[in-house]
This record gives sequence, C-alpha cells and structure tokens, in this order.
Amino acid sequence: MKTLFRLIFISFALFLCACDSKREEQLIMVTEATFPPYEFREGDRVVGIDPEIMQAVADAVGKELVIQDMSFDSVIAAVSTGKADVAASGITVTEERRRQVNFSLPYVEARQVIIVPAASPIAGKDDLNGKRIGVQHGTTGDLFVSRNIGEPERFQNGALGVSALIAGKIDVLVLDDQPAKVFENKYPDKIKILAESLTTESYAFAVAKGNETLLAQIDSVLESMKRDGRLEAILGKYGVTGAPAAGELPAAEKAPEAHGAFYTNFIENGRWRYLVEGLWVTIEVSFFAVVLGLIIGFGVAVVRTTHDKNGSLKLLNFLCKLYLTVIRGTPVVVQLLIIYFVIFGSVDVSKVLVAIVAFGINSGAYVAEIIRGGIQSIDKGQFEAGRSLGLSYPQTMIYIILPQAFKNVLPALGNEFVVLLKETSVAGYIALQDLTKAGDIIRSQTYTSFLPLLAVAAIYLCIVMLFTALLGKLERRLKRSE
Amino acid sequence: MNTTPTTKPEGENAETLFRISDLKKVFGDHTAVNGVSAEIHRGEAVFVLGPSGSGKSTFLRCLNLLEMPDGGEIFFRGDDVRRTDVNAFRARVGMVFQHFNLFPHLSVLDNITLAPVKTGRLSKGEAIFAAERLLKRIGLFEKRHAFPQQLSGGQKQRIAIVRALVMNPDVILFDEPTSALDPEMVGEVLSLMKDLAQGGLTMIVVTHEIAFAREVASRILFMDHGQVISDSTPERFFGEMPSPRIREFLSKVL
Repeated sequence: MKTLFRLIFISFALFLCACDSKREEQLIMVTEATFPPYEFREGDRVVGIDPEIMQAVADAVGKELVIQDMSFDSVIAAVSTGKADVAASGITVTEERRRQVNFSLPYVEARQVIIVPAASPIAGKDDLNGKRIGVQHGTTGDLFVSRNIGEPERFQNGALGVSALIAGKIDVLVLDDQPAKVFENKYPDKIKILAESLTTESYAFAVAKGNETLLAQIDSVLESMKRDGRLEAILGKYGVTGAPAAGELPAAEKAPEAHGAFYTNFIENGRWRYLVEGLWVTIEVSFFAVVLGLIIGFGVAVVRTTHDKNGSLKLLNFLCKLYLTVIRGTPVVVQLLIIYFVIFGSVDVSKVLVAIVAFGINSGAYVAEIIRGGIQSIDKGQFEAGRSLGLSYPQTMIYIILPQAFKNVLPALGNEFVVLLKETSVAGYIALQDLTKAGDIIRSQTYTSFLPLLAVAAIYLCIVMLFTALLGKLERRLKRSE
Repeated sequence: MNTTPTTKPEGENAETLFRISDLKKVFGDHTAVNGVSAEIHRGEAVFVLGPSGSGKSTFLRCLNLLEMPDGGEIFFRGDDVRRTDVNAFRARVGMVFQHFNLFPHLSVLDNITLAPVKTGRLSKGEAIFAAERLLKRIGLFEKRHAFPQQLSGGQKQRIAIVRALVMNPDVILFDEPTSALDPEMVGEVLSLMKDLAQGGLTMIVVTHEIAFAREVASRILFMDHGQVISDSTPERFFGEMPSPRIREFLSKVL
C-alpha cells in the first residue's frame, strides 16, 4: 500500500514539474473578456487593447501569451495568489488594489460614465441620490457608488447591466466610458451617456507584489510603445481617442494601513453586514422557494399519478410532463435569467420575489418526481382500503396516501432542499445580494479570496447542518408510528 | 346508533342486497370471472369456495367495484351500482382484505374513525364513541392509541373488521381474511367473524377455511374457471352427492 501511495505521489510531482517547466515559457494574462474595446471575444479568441499590448510584452520577453478569461472580481486575486502573471482587464488603479498588487505605468485615462435610458430626466451626478444604480460588480464604479452614493445593484458584466437598464429594472448604470460607448452605439435610441462623468481614472496592468522583473519588463515595453506611437495606434484602432496616459505613476505609493486580514475582510467599513444581509436573503429565498416547490411538486405528482392510475386529466398530465422536461432539462441559472428578463421583464417586482419564483418552479419539478416515486411506493392495498370505506379519490390521496408517501420520501426531499439552498448561490446573476454574492462583494473590495470564501462556505455548512438536524428530528417523530 | 346489524335472516322473504347477473371480468386474454349470476339476501353468510385461480377474489372485488366489471350487471338494493354514487355505495359495503391494509401512519382509533368522519356519516365524537365500543367488544380497547406496526396479525385483522363495521354497512366482503395470518392467529379472527354472522351481519366470504365455512355459512357458492358451478346450502355441499369437480376440490383441502 505504501509503495502505491509513493508511486502516485511521485507521478503527481512529476506531472506538476512538467506543468511548471511549461509555465516558465508562458506569460499568463487574466481578464474578463466582456469589456470591449479593452477585451472581448471574437470567435473563440480574446481580443482588444489589453491583449494587443500584452502580446507586445510577451514578444519582448520571448514568452508565449496565454489568456485566461475569468470574472473581473477574481482577476486581482488570481495575480496576487500567483495563479497568473498579469491582470490586464481595464483595471483602474486604486489604493485598495495597490495593497494587493503592483501596478504598471498607466496606459490610458478612462472615465466612469453614467448611462441612463434615453428618456430619463436624470442629467448629472447630482440627480443620482435615491435612484436605483447599477454597476459592474467589483469595478471602480462599484466602489465609487457604494462609498459616495449608496448601495448599487451589482451585475456580473456590463451587458447584464444594460439589459436591466433597458428593462427598467434600474434607473442608472455606471460603466467605464469605452464599453459604455460600445453599448450606446448598439442601442442609440434606448440609452444615452450623460456628458458629466462620475470619476476619472487611469488603467494599468497588475502584477503580483515582489514580481519586480515582470513589472519592469511591462513598464519598459509600455514606455517604448508610447514613444514610437504603437500604443496610440492600438488605442486608435479600437476607437479610443484622447492621449494615452501620462508616463508617471499616478499618486505616490502610500503605505497602506496594515491591518489583519480578518479586520480588513469583516470589520473594516462594516463588511460583515454584507454577510448578514446576504444570509438573510439566502434564507428568505430558500424558505419560500421550498414552500412553492412543495406546493407545485405535490400538485404535479398527484396529477401524474392520477393520470397513470385511471387515464384521466390528459391535458393537465401533458402540461405537467412538459414542465418536468423543460425545467429538469435546463440549468437553473438560465431559468432565473429568463424569469427575470423575459417573464418579469416589463414589470417592476422585487428580485427576491423573482428568485423565489425561479427557484420554487425549479425545485417543484424535482419534488414532483420525488413525491411521485413516494406515491408509487405505497402498497395499492392502502388505496383500495380507503376507497372501499367510501372515501373519495381526493380524500384517499390526502388522508391516506400522501402522508405515507411524504414520510417515505422525507430523506430525498431533505436532500433536494439542501441542493436548493446551495443552488440559490447563483442568484447573484440577477444582482440579488445573497450570501455568495456578499462574499463576492467583500472579495472585490479587499482583493483577498481566502477569508470571504471560507466565511461563506462555513455559513452554508452551518445552515445545512442545522437543517439536516431538524429534518432528522422530524423523521424520528414520524417514525414513532412504526 | 347501531353498529351491529340486528336483522335476522328471514329466509326467502329477506331483502335482496345484491342481484348479480352474467358478471364478466377479463384481464388481458384471461377471463377471470365468466358469467356469474347470484343473489345475496340480507342476513346471509355466503361463502365463496373454489380452487386457486377460480376467480373468487375477482368476483368479490367486482362487487364493490374495486375491479370494474367488463360485462353483466350488479344491482345493490335495486340500484345499478354503476349508475349510483360509487362512494356512497362503497360506504354501505365494507371490505376486509387478506393483508389487512390498515393505515400504518394512523393510530388504531384514527384508522377506525377516519372514514365515518370524512364521509360525514358520524361526527368525530360519535365515531370515537362507536369505535371504542367496538374495540371493547373485541377486547382491544387498550390498543386504541397503538399504531398498526405494534399489533399482531390477528389483532390487525380484527381492527380491520371493526374499521369496516363502524361504517354500519349492509354487507361486509371478506377477501381471504385469514390467509396471511400465522396459524395461531386464525382462531381469534374466525371467532369474531362467527359472532358477527350469528349476530345477523350479511357477509360474503372468500376463504380456504373449509371447516369454518361448513360451520358458519348459510350458503356456499363453489367457483371454478370463473363460473359458479354450485350454489347450495353447506349441508348439501358437504353432503352425499357432490359433483366430481367438488369432490376433487374437497379431497384436496379437507
């Protein structure tokens, strides 16, 4: 046995070495490719201003450029943890980010602009108070709005924010000016960019602290590109006008306040409140979704069993089967987005309600099949005994079959609810601040991954353990009759 | 409130409860019941005997429409059962099953009172009163809060009989009530059934307990291949001149 372990360990180590040696020849760049013209997808390639500049850097140092596409709120963490060499994602230089990474020379000046629906009365910064403001999660716009105006709704990317703006779910969207222009050109009669921008800032590349070699290499390439006009050419090619950023580092390198990671992640600026509020949203959504799912599930299961038993309810049975097929055959995230943007597209309802409906409908399909299995597991003699006593079909179902079926499927139902609870973590897609999103927000503000993720995981685990314990109690109580 | 039928058999003048004519039931290509005609009068204890697969149970289950007949007619107290309210009809025709079919999630008392209360026959209080009276009579009063899993087979079947009785039915159908019991439990169930028969309860019994049939039956229907081939008193059935088919059957079971 020991030799086997050793063998596995050695092969694993060899595998890691093999990877490492390849890693040496690569320049790994992380970005979120939903930020035109800085980075976006063309076919299956990531292109844009940042990839072109990084390609020039890679060429200069004789490495192969590898681009990894990930969510923006993770790119800084990817660099600071060494998973990637450089983050090039239209990143604005901020003090918080400086604590985590080192920034290159800035290569462009950018602004955070305010986008509103074409007919909106909002004219400038001063009109933003009390409005529903959308931002791209983890961007400087997000930071600026959270600090100076109020809690924004955080979208995973600009496109989702624009959809929400057009659908009237938010009043204002704050985005970087270049991507904003791209969206404005796409929907010229639906949205407009206000002349007054929210903030002005510089974009730069981020590398891990201590990786001075790469930082110097990037800076020297940037300087030479600025001198010979290559940088201007690249910017111009993508329609970015205005001079490239000045050559010196913006703001002196201030020593960031030294605090423990725990303080930064949870105490500073009251960040623990994100977790508490997120937990509450998660519990609220899960609880009502479970209730809705149970109601739908029982209904569908009874229709299906009744049809199987005596061939009635043909149309209803067909609809139920359609529902089961569609809901179980598509991802819950897609259902959530469809319900948010399509079904409730033109009405203003709370996102919590949207999430409850989406997760409830989703869960109902699984609950239905669980309960149907439970009903089928009940001996048909039970049904006959009920009917032979003069009870009607519904009475027999309600008083005799369903209570027994429910007891039999309780473990399976419990499992479904645990799955549902964790599935609600995708609610962030509609900018609902659930527990997972709360962790994301903290991560995007502190640029640390470990503690926020650990906290979120621990809270989920606690809820699940508590729930499992309660379920066990219920099972034992129901078992008393045996 | 009267849960024990007191009407005594009145011979030829007794009311006709069931009039069955040319009853047929087909499962796939197997004809389980093939043209059965019979009359059941109030106060009778009719025993249906016959070899396995002769269609006895299917015949019995057709009588309260647990199986839908494929042909023929069943009249219950003058009404075509397929044109009457099936739930009201079933409330007057009790059934006792081979496997008891008590409701495992309900206590003994709830098992008994569920149907009379939910069908609106008795109020909750009346139902409990009636159930407790019957439980005392069969000596299982102290088990009223027990759950079925805590009872022996014989106790379960006696509770199942009480569950049917509390509806105060016109007739109770017994579908092999002792076949699933351990031998030492059979006696208590048979003695309760005998009490009920002697008390005048109309019953139709499918059973393999030949000796019991001989003792309690007022009439014996002998079925083979889905047909009734003999309808007679027990004296004649067990008497001198049985047909060869009956003789063969009796030689196997006695």
